[in-house]
Amino acid sequence: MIFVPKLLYIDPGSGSMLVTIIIGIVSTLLFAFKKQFLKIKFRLLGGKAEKTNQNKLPYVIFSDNKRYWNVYEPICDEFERRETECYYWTSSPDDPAFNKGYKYVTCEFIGEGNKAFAKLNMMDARICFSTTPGLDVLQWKRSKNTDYYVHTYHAVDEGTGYRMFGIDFFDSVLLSGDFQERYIRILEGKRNFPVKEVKTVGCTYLDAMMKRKNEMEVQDDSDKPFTVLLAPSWGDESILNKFGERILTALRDTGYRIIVRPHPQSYTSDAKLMKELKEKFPETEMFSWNSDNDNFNVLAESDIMITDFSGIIFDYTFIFDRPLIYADTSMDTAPYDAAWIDEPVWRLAILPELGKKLEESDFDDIKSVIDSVSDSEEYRAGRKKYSEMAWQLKGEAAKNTVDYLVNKYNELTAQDNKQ
Amino acid sequence: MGTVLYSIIITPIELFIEIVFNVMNLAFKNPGFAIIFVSIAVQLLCFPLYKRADEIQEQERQKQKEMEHWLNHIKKTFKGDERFMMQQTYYRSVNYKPIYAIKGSVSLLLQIPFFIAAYNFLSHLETLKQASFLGIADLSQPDQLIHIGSLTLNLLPILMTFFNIISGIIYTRGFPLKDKIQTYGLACIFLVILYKSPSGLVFYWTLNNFFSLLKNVFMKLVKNPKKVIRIILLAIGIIAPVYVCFFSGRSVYLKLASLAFAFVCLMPTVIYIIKKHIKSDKNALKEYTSDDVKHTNALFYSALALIFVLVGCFIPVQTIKASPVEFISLNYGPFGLIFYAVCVYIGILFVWINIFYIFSSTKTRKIFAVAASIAAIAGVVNYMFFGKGLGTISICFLYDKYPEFSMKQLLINTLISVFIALAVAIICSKKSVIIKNVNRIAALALAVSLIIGSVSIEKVLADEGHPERAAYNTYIDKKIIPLNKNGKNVIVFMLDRAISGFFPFALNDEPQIKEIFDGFTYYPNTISFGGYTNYATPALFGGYEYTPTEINKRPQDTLVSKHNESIMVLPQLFADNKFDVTVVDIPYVNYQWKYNTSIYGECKDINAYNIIGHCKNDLQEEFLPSFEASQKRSMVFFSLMRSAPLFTQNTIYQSGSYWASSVVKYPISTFINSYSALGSLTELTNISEKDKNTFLMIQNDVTHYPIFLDESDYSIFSYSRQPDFRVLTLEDGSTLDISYYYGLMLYQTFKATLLEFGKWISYLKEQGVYDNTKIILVSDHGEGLGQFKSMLFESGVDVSFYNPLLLVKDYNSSGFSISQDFMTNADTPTLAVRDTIENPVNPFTGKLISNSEKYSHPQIITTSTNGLININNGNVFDTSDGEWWEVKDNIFDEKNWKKVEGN
Repeated sequence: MIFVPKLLYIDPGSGSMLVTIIIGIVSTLLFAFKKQFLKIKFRLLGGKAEKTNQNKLPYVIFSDNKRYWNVYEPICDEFERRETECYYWTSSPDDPAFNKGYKYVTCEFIGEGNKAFAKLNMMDARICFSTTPGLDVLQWKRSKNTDYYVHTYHAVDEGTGYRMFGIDFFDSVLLSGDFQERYIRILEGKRNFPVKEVKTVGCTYLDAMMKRKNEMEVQDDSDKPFTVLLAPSWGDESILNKFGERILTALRDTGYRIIVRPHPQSYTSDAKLMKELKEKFPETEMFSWNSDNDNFNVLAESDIMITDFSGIIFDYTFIFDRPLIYADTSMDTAPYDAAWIDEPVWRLAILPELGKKLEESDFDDIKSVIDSVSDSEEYRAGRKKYSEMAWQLKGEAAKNTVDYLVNKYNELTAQDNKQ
Repeated sequence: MGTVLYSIIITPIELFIEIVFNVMNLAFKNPGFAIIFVSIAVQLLCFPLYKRADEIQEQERQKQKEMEHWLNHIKKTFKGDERFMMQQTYYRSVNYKPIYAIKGSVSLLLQIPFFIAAYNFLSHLETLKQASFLGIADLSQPDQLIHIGSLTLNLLPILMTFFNIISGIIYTRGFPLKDKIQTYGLACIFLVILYKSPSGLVFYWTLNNFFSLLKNVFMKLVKNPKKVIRIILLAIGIIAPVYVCFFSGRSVYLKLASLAFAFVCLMPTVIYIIKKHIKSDKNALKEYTSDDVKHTNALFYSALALIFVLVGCFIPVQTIKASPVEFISLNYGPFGLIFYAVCVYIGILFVWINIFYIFSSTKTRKIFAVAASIAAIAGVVNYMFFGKGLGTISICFLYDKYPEFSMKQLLINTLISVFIALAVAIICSKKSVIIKNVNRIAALALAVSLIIGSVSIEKVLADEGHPERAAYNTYIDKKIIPLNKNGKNVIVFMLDRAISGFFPFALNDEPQIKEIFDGFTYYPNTISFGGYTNYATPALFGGYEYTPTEINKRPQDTLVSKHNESIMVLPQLFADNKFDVTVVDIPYVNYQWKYNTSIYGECKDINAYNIIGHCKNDLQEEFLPSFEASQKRSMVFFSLMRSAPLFTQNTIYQSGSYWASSVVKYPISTFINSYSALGSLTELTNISEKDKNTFLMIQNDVTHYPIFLDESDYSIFSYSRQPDFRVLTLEDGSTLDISYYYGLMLYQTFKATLLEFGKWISYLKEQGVYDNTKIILVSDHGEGLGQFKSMLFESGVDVSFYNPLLLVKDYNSSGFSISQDFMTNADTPTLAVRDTIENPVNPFTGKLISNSEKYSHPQIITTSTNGLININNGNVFDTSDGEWWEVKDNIFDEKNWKKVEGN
C-alpha cells in the first residue's frame, strides 16, 4: 500500500518561504556537488600523485615558476652552505636551480599546474616554504601531512597585491619590513582568520642585486652620457600605447642617451605598435631598444627611469638609488587583498615621494623635468626613507630566513617528540 | 522503498493526527470539533519548529546581509572556478557554511509530512461521511454553503483564501515584491486546487490558515506575543473546563479531555510563575558547557536506542515468536510485520522525537534525555514484569478477553514506575553516565535476545518450508471429495475450537439449524482431554489410546510421531477395509503449523488434500488490505501498550482498537480462507453411483478465527459499525455472555459456520447421499472465556474450555435429538467404525478401537495451556503449567471433577 498524496497543501505563511527554501536547497546541493566535482577534477587532471609517505621531508621550497629563482637562490645557497638537507620543488622544468649542482639541496621538477598541485596537496613535509600565494584558496591545498607553511614576499611593497585571501592560510609570513605586518593584521582582523606568525627577515633578491651592484660598481662612468631608461608596461593603458610617438620624439629631442625597454609582453600583446615604433625610431648611438633577459645591466646603466610598471620601481630606486618619473600607475584593486584595505595602496601612495608623475603637459619640456627630478633632494630623501622602511635587515635575508626555518623546524620536532 | 519512507516519515504523524481526532471525536461526538482540535494540536506541535525556523531564518538573513558586500564584490570581480573558490574561502572567513541556509528551512520543510499525513487521513476518513457541522451537511463533500440564485458556491475555500491573503499581507510586510507575488499566487493556486475537496479537509486547512494568520499577527504585530498568548490561554484554560463541567453535562471523556486541555492551557502561566520565582531567588542562569551537551546527547540517544529496541523490535519479535506462521499474510511474513514496527518506531523516535530534540535548547534537551531514560527503563520493567497472564492475543493483537488488572497489580506497578522515575531523575542529575550505561546495556541485552527470538522465528518458518514465500493461492479445481450413493459414506468433520455451549443458543437464534441437523444427535455433555489442539486432537482422531495420559505413557516415542500415528489410525483402518479414503486439512501434520499432507503421501490408498487457502473467493481482495493495514498498526500500539504503565494500558488498548479510526479486530484473512473452504465443499464434492464405501476425515478451523459478522445475513461486518454486544438467556435460564469483542465474534462465527456447513448438508440431502452417510461433527476443544456462568467452577475451571461440540448422525437416522450421555471426543473413532467396520483394530497398536475406557475409569484431562507445537514437542507433553483433573458423568457438575494430585 503506497499512499501517494494527491496534493501538497502548504500554508501560505510558509508558502513563499518554501519556494525560497527549495531554491536554497537546490543551490546548496549544487554547491556541494560542485565542490566534489572540482575535487575530482583536480585529482583526475593531476594524475596519480604518488603517496609521499616515506620519511617526512624537513624543508620543501616550492617555486611555481623559475622567475622566482632570484627569491629562492640565496636561500638554497644558504642551506647548501650550512650543509642542511632541503628540497626544492619547482614547476619549471628548466629552473636555474638544476644548474647549481647542489649537494644538500635536492631539486625536483614536480610538473606544472594541477599535476604539481596534486603532489603538493599530498606533500609530507615538516615545513613548506614558498612565495606562491593562494594556499588553500585555489587548487593548492594545505597537505594534511605537512605541518607548517611559511610564505615569503617576492616584493618589498605592502604585500596586498595578491589575489584575494593570498596568504591567509599560511602559518607564518616572512617580511622585508616591519610595516608589512600592519596590513597582515588588518586583513586577519577583517576575515577572522587565525593570527599568523610574522618575522622580518629582509629581502633575499634585493640582497642579491645589491651584492651584484656592489661587485660591479668599481668602473668609472664619468664620461658616460646621461642615460634615460624608458621602461613601459604593456596594454592599452601603457605609456607606449597612450603616448607612443610623442613621448619617444620628446625624449629623443632631449639629447640624452635613451634606452627603451618595453615589457617583454609588449612584443606579443602590442606587436604591431612595436613594429611601427621600431621602424620610426631606429637604433642610433643615443637611442636604443633593449630586450635583455636580465634587466640588471640596463638598470645599472641608466641615470633616471621613466616607467608605468610598478614591479620595477622598488628594485630601481632601492638598489640604484636613482630618480624616477612614473606614469599613471593606477590599479584596479578589486581582485586583490588591497580591496580590503580602506586606504590608498601603499606602493602607489608613496610614489610622489620617490619621483615625479609624468603628465602629458610635460612632454614639450621633458628635458627640464628630467633635470629637475635628477637633482631633487626631496626625492633622494624619499628614497632613503622608504628603502629603510620596506627593506630592513639588508644583506641578511638569506641567513635570517634559513635561521627562521631551522628554528621552526626544531620547534616543531620538539613538539612532535613531546607528543 | 516508497512504502518504507512513508512508514518512517509520514506514518508517525498520521498516527498522531488519528489519535487526536479519535480522542476528540469520542469526547465531542462531532468530527467537526475533532478537526478543530487536530488543527490546534498540529499547530502546537509545529510551533516550536516554526519559532526556531523563524529565528534561524532571521539569523540567516542577517548573515546574508553581512556577507552581501563581499559576495557581490567576489561575484563582480572573479569568474569561473576562481569565483567559486573565492566564495568558498570567504564563507570560511565568516564561518558560514552554505548548509546553514538549509538548517532554517529544515523545520519548515518538516511540515510537508504534516500536510501529507493530514491529507491522507482526512481525505479518506469514513467518519466524515454524512457528518454535519456548522451548517455543512456532509464533511466528506464540498460545503456548498453559498447559494446565489441557482449558483452554488463553496464557502470554506473562499474563506481559506481570505485568511491566506490577510496572512500573506502581514507576513510579507517589508518583503520584496517577488515574495508578495509568490504568496498571493500560491493562495490563488490553493483556492483552485482545494475548491472541490471534501469540506472536512478544507475546514482543516482553513483552520490551519486561520491559526497561521493568528500566529503571524502575534509574531509580527504584537509587541509582547508571549504575554498575550499566556493570558489568552489562561482565560481559555479557566473558562473551558468550567463550561464543559457545569453547563454541557456530556460524557466523562469530554470532561476528562477538557481538564487535560485546561491543564495544557494553564501550563505556560504556571511555568512562567515558577520561572519568575526561581529567578527572583537569584538562581544564576546555568551555563551549559559543551561537555554538558555531549553528555545529554549521549544519555538521550542511549535512551532512544533502548526504547527503539524494546518497542520497535523486541516486543514485536517476542509476540510473533509465539506463533510465527499465523502472522503470514498475503503481502508479508512475520519479519515483514516486524519490519513495519521497526520502520514506524525509527520514524517516531529517530526522526520526529529526534527532530524536536535537535531543535530544543540544552535545558529542554536535558528534560528530553531524562524523560526518555525514564520511559525506556520503566518500559522494560513494565514489559518484563507486568501485564502478563492476560490470555492469548490474536494475530490482530487483541486479547481473548478484555485485559483487567487487579488493584494490587496496578498499585505495585504505579509505585514501581514512580520509583523508577524518581531514581532515574536523581541519578541523572548526579551521574548521568550510570543511566546511560544502564540504557546501553539493557538495549544490548534486548538486542541479543531479540536476535535469538528472530532466529527461532526463522527456524519455525524454515521447518514449515517458508510458507510465507510460497505462492499464496493455488486453487483446487477438481472434485476431491467422493461420496457414493450406493455404498456407505463416513465423514469425520472436525471444527477447531467449536464451542459446544453455543449450540443451544444458536438453535434458539436460528431455528433452521434444527432442520439442517435432521438426523443428528447433539451431545452437550462431552469432554475433551485438553483445551488445546495439540492435547485434544490425537484422541479425537485416534481414540482412547491417544489421550494425553496415554501418550505420556509412551515416552520412548516422540510427540510428533504419536500425533502422526493418531491422525493416521482412521484413514489407514478405512483404507485397509477398501474404503475410498480422503483426508483434508488435518491439523499439525508432522507437527507443522502449515496444513500439509506429508505423512499421507506414503500411502497410496489415502487421498490427502489441503483446501484451506486454496478455494477461490472474492472476499480476500476486498478485505485483505484493510486487515493488513490494521494488523500492522495494531502491532505498533501493542508494543507501546505492553511497555506502558499498567494503568494506561487499557486506555492505549481502547478495547482493542488502539484508537484507530477503523480497525479490523479479527484475522479476516484466515477467516476468509477457512470460511471459503467450508463454502466450497459443495463444489468439491463428487457424488457418484458407485457402490464403493467412502471415508472422509476433514477439518475446518473457521471457528478458530472468528470475526464480526452481520447477524442478519452473516456477511462480513463493516468496521465502522458498533457490533451488537449483549447477554443471551435461554428459557432454561442459561446465559451466554457476548458483551465483548472476542466472545461475540466467536458466537457469530459459530453460527455462520453451522449455516455454511448446512448448505453442504442440504446438498447431500438433495443428491441422495444423506441417509447412507454417517457424519460426526466434532471439535477438539472449547474456549475458556467464562461466557457461560453455569460452566464456571469455584475451582477456577471453565468447563466450556474442555467442552467440545459433538453432533453425530448415524445411517438412516432422522429427527433432531439431544443426548445427555457422557461423551468424550475420543469417542469419535468408535462412533465412526460402529456398524461400518467389523472388528476395527488400530493398525498401529493392534488394539480394538472402542470406548470401553470411558466406562472403566474417570477421564483425565489437562488444563495446560502449553499448546505450541514448536515448543511442546518432546517425547511427552509438558503440562507443568496446568493441572490434571479426573472427570466423569455429568461434566457440568463440579462434584464430578477431581483434581489429580501429585502429577
